[in-house]
Amino acid sequence: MTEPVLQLRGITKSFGGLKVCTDINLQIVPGELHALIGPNGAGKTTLLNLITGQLPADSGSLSFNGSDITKKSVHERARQGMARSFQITSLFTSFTVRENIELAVQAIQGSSYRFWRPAAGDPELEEPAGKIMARVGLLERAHIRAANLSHGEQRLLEMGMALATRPSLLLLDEPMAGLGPGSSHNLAQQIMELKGSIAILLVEHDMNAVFSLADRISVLVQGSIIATGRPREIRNNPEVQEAYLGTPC
Amino acid sequence: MKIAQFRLRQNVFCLAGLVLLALLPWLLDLCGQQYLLSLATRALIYGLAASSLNLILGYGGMVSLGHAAFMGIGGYVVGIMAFHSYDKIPVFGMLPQSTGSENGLLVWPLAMLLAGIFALITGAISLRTKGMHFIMITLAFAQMVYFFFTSLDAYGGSDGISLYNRNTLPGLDLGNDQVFYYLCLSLLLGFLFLMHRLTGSRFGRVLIGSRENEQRLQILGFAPFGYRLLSYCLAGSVAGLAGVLLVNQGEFVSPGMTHWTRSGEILVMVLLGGMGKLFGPLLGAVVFLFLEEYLAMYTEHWMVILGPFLILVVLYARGGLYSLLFDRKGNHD
Ligand SMILES: Nc1ncnc2c1ncn2[C@@H]1O[C@H](COP(=O)(O)OP(=O)(O)OP(=O)(O)O)[C@@H](O)[C@H]1O
Ligand SMILES: [Mg+2]
Repeated sequence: MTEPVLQLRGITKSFGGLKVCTDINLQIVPGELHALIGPNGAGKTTLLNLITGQLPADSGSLSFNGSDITKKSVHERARQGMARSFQITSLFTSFTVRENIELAVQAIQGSSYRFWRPAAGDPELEEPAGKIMARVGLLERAHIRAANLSHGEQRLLEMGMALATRPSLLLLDEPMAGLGPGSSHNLAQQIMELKGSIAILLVEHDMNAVFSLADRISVLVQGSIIATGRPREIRNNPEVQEAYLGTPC
Repeated sequence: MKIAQFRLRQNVFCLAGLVLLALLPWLLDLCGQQYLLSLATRALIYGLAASSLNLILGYGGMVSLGHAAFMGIGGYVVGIMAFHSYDKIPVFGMLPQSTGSENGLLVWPLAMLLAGIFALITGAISLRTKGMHFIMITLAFAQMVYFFFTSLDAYGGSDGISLYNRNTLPGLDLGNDQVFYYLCLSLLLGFLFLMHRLTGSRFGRVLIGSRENEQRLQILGFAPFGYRLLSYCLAGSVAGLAGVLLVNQGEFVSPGMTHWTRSGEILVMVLLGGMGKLFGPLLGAVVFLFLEEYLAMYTEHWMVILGPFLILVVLYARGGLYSLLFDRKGNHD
C-alpha cells in the first residue's frame, strides 16, 4: 500500500482531568478526502490542534510524509506542507484580501528576511495570489479589508490562504459553519475540485456534505475514534448510529 | 472619492510640515525667536526615539516600557568617552585614550552598536513573553540600566557627566545650533525613509502579520520570533542614536535619562501621534514637547492638564492625532 501522508499513533491529550483525546490512531493516505465527524465537544478541533502542533500531545507520535513530526513546532510542520483553516475565522483583519493571500504565498517563496523591495506590486506575489483569488472567487474583492468582508467571503479567504501555501495535507475545521445554502454549495464545490490532488482532513457537521464528499469517515465520540470506514459502512454501523447519528439514516 | 480627498489632505499636510521643518531655523531667525530652536531640536530627537518605538509597537505590536534604556546607553557612551578624553585616562584601562573619543564617526556607531547588543540580549529574553509580562520585563531591564548608571560613581553617579563640547564630525560644526538642528532633521528623515521601505517590504508584512494574528502567521509557516527580535534590535539601536543626539544637544548625561517615566513619555508620544503611522510619532513628539513647554509656563501642575488631554486623544482617536487629522472615521476602506 502507499505510504500514508499522515499517521497518528496512540495520540492522547487531556486538559487537567478532562481526557479530550484518547489513544487516537488515524491514517490519511495520499489524495483521500477523510472526514472527521462527531458530536459537539467530541475533541475534533483539539485533534486538529494536535496535528498542527498548536497543542502538544501528552503521548503518542505523529509522522507526516514519512518523517516524525512529534517534536516539530507549528511553523516547521507548516513548512513541510501542512495547512489549515480555522473553525473560528482567523485572518489578518487589517490586511486586504490580496495582502492576506500574498502573505501566504510569501511563506513558500524562501526567506522573508527581505527588507527593501516593496511587497506591494511584486509580480512574484501578485500572480500566484491572483490565481488563488480567482479560484476561490474573491478576485473582485481583492482590495477590500478582510475585516469588511461578509462571513461567507471570510470563509473563502480562509480557504484561499490555506491553498496558497500549496499544502500536501489540508485540514479544514467546519469550513461551512454559518454559511447560507448558496455559499455552502460553493465551498463544497471548491473542496470537490481539490479532491484527489491533495489529502484533506475535513471536520464538518453538515452530514449531506460529508457523505457526498468523503472517501472515508472517522467518527470521534468523547475523544475516541469509534469507527473508520467508507461512507456506506459508517452509515450502516450500529455503534455509530447509536452513539452519534442517533436515529438510523 | 472620499478616500482620495483624505489622501490628498494627508500629502499636502505632510509636505507643508516638511517644508516648515526645513525652513524653521530661518523662520525663527526672522521673528527673533532663536531660543525656540533648541526646543525644536529636542522635538526632532524625541521624534526619532518615538519613531523607533513605533517600529516595534505600532507595526510589531510589542508594547515596550523600557525604550529610554537604549537612549541612556547611547548617551552614556558619548558621556563616558568624552569624560576619558578630558581626564586622559584609558577607557576601562584598555582602549588608548585621546584618539577619537570625541569623534562622532567613532563614538556614534559604537553607541548604536552597544544599544543594539543590549536590545539583542534583553529582546531574546523578553520576547519569549507576551502582553503584560512583556511590558513588565522591558520595564525591569530598563530599571536595571537606570540603577547601573546611578551606581557608576566614577562617572558622577546619579549626578551624571557634563560635557565640555559636542562631538565632532568632519566638515560639520556641531557647536552651531542650526547645523546641529539640520543634522537631527536629516537623521530623522533618513530613518523614516528606511522605516517606510522596511514596513512595506516582505519583512514588514510578516512583522505586521505578527501583530495582527500570530496563530495564523505560524500556521502559514513563519516563526515570528526572529522578525520581532530583529526589529527590536533595530529600534534599540536607533533609540541609542537618539540618546547620542540628546546628550550632544544638552552636553549633559545622567541616569535620569533612562528613568521609566522617560520611557512612559516616549510611549505617550507614539500613542498621542498615532501608532503604526509613519509620521504619527513625530507629530506626537512635537505636540507633547510644545504642550509641556507652554503649559509649564502657566502652571507647574501642567501634567494635570496634559494628562486628561492625552486620555481623551487615546480614547477617542485610536490612531492618535494623525488619524484624527487624516483618516476617515473608523479608518476603513
Ligand atoms: N484549551 C482548552 N482547555 C480546556 N478544555 C478545552 C480546551 N480546548 C477544548 N477543551 C475542551 O475539550 C473538549 C473538546 O473540545 P473541541 O473544541 O476539541 O471539540 P469539537 O469536537 O471541536 O467541538 P465542536 O463541534 O463544538 O467544535 C470540550 O469539552 C472543550 O470544552
Ligand atoms: Mg471544533
